[in-house]
This record gives sequence, C-alpha cells and structure tokens, in this order.
Amino acid sequence: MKFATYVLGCLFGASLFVSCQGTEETSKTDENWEPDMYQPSELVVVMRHMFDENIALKDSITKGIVPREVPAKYREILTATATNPSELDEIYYAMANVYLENYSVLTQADSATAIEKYNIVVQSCIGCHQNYCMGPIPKIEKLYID
Amino acid sequence: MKHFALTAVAALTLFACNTTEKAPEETTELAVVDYEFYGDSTMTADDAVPAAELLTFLDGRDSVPVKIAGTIAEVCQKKGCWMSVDLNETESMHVSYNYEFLLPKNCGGKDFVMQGTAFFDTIPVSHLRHLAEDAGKSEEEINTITEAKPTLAFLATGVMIKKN
Repeated sequence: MKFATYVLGCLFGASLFVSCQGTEETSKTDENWEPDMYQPSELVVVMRHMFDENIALKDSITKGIVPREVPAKYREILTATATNPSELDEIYYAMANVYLENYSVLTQADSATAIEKYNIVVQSCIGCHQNYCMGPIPKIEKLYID
Repeated sequence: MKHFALTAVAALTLFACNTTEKAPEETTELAVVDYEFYGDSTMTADDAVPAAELLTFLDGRDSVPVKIAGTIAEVCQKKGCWMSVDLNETESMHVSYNYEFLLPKNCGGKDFVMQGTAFFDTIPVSHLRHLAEDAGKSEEEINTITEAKPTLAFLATGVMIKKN
C-alpha cells in the first residue's frame, strides 16, 4: 500500500513537471516584444538634414543654380554630439573643416564648374565616412552628378 | 480509497496538460501573423525562399532579386544598420539596407521575411572590423580580423519582422 502511494505520488509530481515545461515554452513567444529603435544623435540629425538638402542641391546644380553661402546649420558638424563621441578625433574635425571649405569653394563657382565643385563636396562626405562609418556611403554616392 | 484519490488527481493533472497542449493547435489556423515593416511596407510574406535554400536558389548566378525568410542571427548594436542571417552551420550572410531604414537593435533571434538582391561580395578588413565593433565584439576579437572575407551579401529594400 505504501509502495503504491509512493508510485502514484511520483506520477503526480511528474505530471506537474510536464505541466511546468509547457509553461516555459509559452513564455518564449515574445508576445510583449517591442522594437528598440536607435535614437539618432545630434550629429546624425544634422547629417540627415544635410543629405536631404543635398538631394535638392543636386537638382539645382544640374540646372546651373549655384548656392551662394554655406548653410549655417552645416557648421554644426563641428559641435554636434556623435553616437560615439570618442570616435571624433582630430582627423574627423580636419575632414569636417575640409567639407566646409569645399562647400565654400562651391559657393564661388560659376555654372561651368559647379558640377565639378559640387562633386568634390560629395567626395569629402564619402572620404570622411570611409574613416568613421562606411554604412551610409552607398546612399551618399547617389548625390554624385555624373 | 487513498489509491483512488491519488489516481484521480494524477489523471486529472495529465488531462489538464493535454488540454493545454492542444489549445495552440486549434488557434494556429486562426492566428494572424503580426509583422513590423521596415522599408517597403507594401511587401508580403508570400513565396519567400527559406534562407537555408538561398545558395541552391542562386544556382551559380552572381546576383539575383529574391524574397527570403529566416531568422536574424545578429544585428548592429549601435544603430541597427545591418544584420546577419545564418545560411547553414558554417556560412552567414551580411544584410544591409544602405541606411534607407534601420532595424530594431533587439531583433536578433526574430523571424523575418525580406526582399532585395542577393549577391556575392568581398568585405574588406576595415569594414569587417567596423562591423565587428558594431556587433559589440571585444578589441581582442576585432584584432583577429586580418583578411578580407568573400561572402554572400544581401541588399534589402524591405524587411518584415515577425512580432509574435
């Protein structure tokens, strides 16, 4: 009698164990999963703004319309906080200044040389990204005027 | 009597377990798969090639537009700007979307469907190191990368991530 009780007790315990395993499976379904999206840094916001404006600029340059000043917002590439601030070393600031200088040269170009000067501006974006973040390069390359 | 009571309790517990296991089968047919869309929001999950069959599907072609389904292995931990998909036990595929969109940083292990172009590429050492850094690898691990890697790559125009 005692043995039978022991066996049935084990059966009961085993059935509970099976039940617990099922609960664990259910908990793996990620029903409450919510996407954790990247929150853009100040520098990313500035660069996205520059990209959007440069799409319009590409169209203007193609039509022979040359900008006459460097947008003030663009100078924020020297002060905005990056995703990884420690990455912004002396080379970054040197290249950022080269970009601004190249844009300044573009503002003085005539319609005959505007495309060449504009493409140099785009090249300076890509040159910097080759050193710091290569991901956006294919997107930036779309700014080139053939 | 004690015998009977214990037998009844055990039987009822097992019965309850069986009932719980059957419930998902009944709801599977009715369940609506909920996806998060990134990039092209008009795509569907129809006719996707399993990631494990992609190499066979390429059939010697250098690049091919295709829709594939699989599980995300790794995702960029800085911005979600790339992910990787295991094709088999030894090969994985690098997936980018050229910053046209970003994926959630916590989508590793989630099932997905994506469309775009699969192509063979060689990733230079500098980019491999950058990717390793994005994936959160240690400096020691990054320094072991010394050779360019020929790989199957994917440029996605849209990704659907299964939410549940």
